[in-house]
Amino acid sequence: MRNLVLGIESSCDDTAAALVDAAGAVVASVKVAQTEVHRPYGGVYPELASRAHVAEIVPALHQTLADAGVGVEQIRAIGVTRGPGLIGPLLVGLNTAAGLGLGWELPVIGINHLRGHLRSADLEEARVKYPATILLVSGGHTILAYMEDPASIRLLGTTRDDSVGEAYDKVGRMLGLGYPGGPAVDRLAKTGTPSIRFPRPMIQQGLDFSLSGLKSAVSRHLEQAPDPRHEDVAASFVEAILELLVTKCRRALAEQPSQSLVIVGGVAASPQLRAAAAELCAELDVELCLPPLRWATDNAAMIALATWDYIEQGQQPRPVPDVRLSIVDY
Amino acid sequence: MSLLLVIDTSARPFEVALGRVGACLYSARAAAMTPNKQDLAAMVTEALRASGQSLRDLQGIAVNIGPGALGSVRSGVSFANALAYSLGVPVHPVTSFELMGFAAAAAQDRPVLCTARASDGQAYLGVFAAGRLSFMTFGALDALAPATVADLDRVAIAGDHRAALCTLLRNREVIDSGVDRGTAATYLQWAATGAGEARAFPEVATPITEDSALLRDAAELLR
Ligand SMILES: [Zn+2]
Repeated sequence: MRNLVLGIESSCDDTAAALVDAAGAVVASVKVAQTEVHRPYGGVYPELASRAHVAEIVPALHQTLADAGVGVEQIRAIGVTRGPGLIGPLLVGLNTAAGLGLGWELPVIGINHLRGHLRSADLEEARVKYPATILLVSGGHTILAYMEDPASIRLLGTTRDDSVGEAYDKVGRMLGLGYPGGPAVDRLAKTGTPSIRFPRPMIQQGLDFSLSGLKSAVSRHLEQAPDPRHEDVAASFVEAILELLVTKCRRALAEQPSQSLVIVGGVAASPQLRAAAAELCAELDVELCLPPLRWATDNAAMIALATWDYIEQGQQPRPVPDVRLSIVDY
Repeated sequence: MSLLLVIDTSARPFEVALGRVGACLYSARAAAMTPNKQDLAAMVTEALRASGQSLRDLQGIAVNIGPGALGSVRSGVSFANALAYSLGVPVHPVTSFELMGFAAAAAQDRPVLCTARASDGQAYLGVFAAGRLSFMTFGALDALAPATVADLDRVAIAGDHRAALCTLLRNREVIDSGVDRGTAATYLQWAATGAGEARAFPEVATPITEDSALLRDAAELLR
């Protein structure tokens, strides 16, 4: 019985493969992170990411099949990320999927990575109560979206410049905290007081974000303050980010009432964000949905689950790269 | 004799060939396809159909691992590794200098200095002699070319930098082979000499990059 989809993800710095059934049960999931490859560069270095994907992707696929203990005859289709992302890494995944599809005589479907993230919270068990408002915050994305049901998605807001994760990483670098900077900034922030009033760009209007002004303000403060206390800078930065995120979520929930607020992406690991979101949801009587972090960050299981949506809707986007896919695109 | 598929995406147009060692059954370049949409699966399907062969009869997949256009090489290598894995057959990595050098040496019967463009105006250089790639390096063409051929009596040149090499090596007797690149079908001829190696999963083919170990060691030799 062909009851599994093989998902393949290689849009950035994780090489991943997974087998998932139509209900979102994850039969196997393998992810090879490249954090150590990119650490010396303080960010993802596309050429090295491409190289690592070529070396890791077939072994990751093999491991996934071995972990699942299933044969190819159980696979219904291959879903592979076609964008958005880095072109070199995307081409590795797409061509790998094309080779497997030919050899195994399986359809290969090009999947929008962002659609994968939107569905990630329903992996293993159906957690999301629809309609839902979703905040996706990671190194690559900052997106607010509204989902009537898994098939109808509306973009509410996105960032006009840096992503939240990028802002965290850049501030982490300014504070000498290494790469990736996000968790270290959060940890340092807990030891300081938010005594500096950094700007909250675009907080008064709309659901879009802008973070480069905040990042520059932190940089200016570090240059100009006579003896800046790093823990206070981190605490003040985190406070500004949280106020921005919570304000936008509150506005989104007021404009399109939802049963749940779902937060996914690497920044969903932030304890400060989790606490602030819990407070907001308690106040508005909305269910807060924070999936396990392994599904909130990039993975292939979410790509496989999104593939099932496409199959059920009779959609079969071609597996061609598109580095600028938006959330509303197939 | 076993049926081999050969994939060469080191330059556009992409090329595939199908045949047995020493005997090409089919080869085609996808000239009509646009750069980002050269669908390798479609090219292979057409190769099998046109030559009346089945995917199940394939016993190995040879793939050009470069040097060449890096993103394209990676596309071909990723495809070849995955197809070989899915069919349970070995992959045969081959460098573009082996294909190019074999094609040029067949006509000239002397060592061949092979060249390919790299990023930032740099070049890849290789020496193909006695049926094998004996040396490969990477760097500035003007500095490396004279040093690379210093020990060779006679030399033919092939690849992207032939015009520049004619000037750089004007003190020597150099023959321009006229060969720009090898072809996928060249692999089948070259393999008939007993050259080439197969790798079975979990080994996979890996593209040549500017800091492949192979090139670092060669640069040391020249110093
Ligand atoms: Zn992502």
